Amino acid sequence: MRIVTEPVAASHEDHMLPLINIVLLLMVFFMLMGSVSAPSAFKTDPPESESFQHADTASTGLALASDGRLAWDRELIRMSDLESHARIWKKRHEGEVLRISADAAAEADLLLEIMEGLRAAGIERVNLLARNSEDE
Amino acid sequence: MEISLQPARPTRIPLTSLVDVVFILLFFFMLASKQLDWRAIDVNLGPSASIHAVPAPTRNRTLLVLPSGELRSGSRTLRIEAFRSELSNDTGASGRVILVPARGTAVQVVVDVLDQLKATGIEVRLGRLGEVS
Repeated sequence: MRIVTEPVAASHEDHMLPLINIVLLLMVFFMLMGSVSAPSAFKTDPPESESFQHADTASTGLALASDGRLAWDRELIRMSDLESHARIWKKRHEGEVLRISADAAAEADLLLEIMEGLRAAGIERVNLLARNSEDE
Repeated sequence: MEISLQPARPTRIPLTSLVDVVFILLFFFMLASKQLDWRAIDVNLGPSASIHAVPAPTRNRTLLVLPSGELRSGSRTLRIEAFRSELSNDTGASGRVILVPARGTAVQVVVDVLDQLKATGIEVRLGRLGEVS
C-alpha cells in the first residue's frame, strides 16, 4: 500500500516573517521607551538640568514661551486669565501636581509671577519640567 | 491500493496587510514619541514655600541672580563656584539661600544655579525683586 502525500507549497509571505518580527520589536520599543503627548500651543525648549528627579512623562498643563506667551494645555491664555484657569484645573485635578514647561530663554521673573498667580488660586505644588543635559 | 492524501489547506493570515499596518504604527511612534529623559524640579508654592514671604535678609543669604549667571550679594559679585566654596567654608551659615532673578535673567540661568546649589544640600528659596528690599 502506498500513501502519497503532496507537499504543502511554501508561501512567498513566509520570507517576510523575520522582517515582521523585527518591525514589531521596533514598534514595541518605541511604544515603551517614548512618550506621546498632545502638542502645546507653541514649542518650548525647556531648560537643561542634571540633578533633579526623573519625570515619567512630558505632559504639561502650563507652557511659557520665550517671548512671554502663556498656554494652558493647547489654549493660549493671558496672564489675567491665569488664576481662573488654575482654579478650574485645581477642581478637576485634586491632588495632582501641575507641570510647567517653561522655555529656557523665558524670563525667570515672569515664571515667578506665574507661580504667584498659581499660589493665589490655591495650587501648592508645581513641577517645572527640564531636560536631562546628558541627552544632548 | 493507493491512497492520495490531499494536504489540509492551512488557514493563512494575509501578512502583507499586517506589515502595512505595523509599518504605519512604527512610523507613528518613531515620529510622535519623545525619547528625552525629562526632569521635574519640584517647587513648593504653599504657605511655607519658596516664592513668597521672603524673610528678613539679615537671617538669610539673599542673592541676586544676574543674566550672566553670576550672583550678587550686597555689593559683591561672585561666580557660583566661588559661592559654593564660600558656603562650604562658612560652617555658621543659616543654611538658607534666597535666589532673586534680576530682570532679564533666563529660566536656564536660574535652573543652573539651582542645580549647583542642590549639590550643597542647602535650602533654596526663590524670591522676586519687588519682595526683597
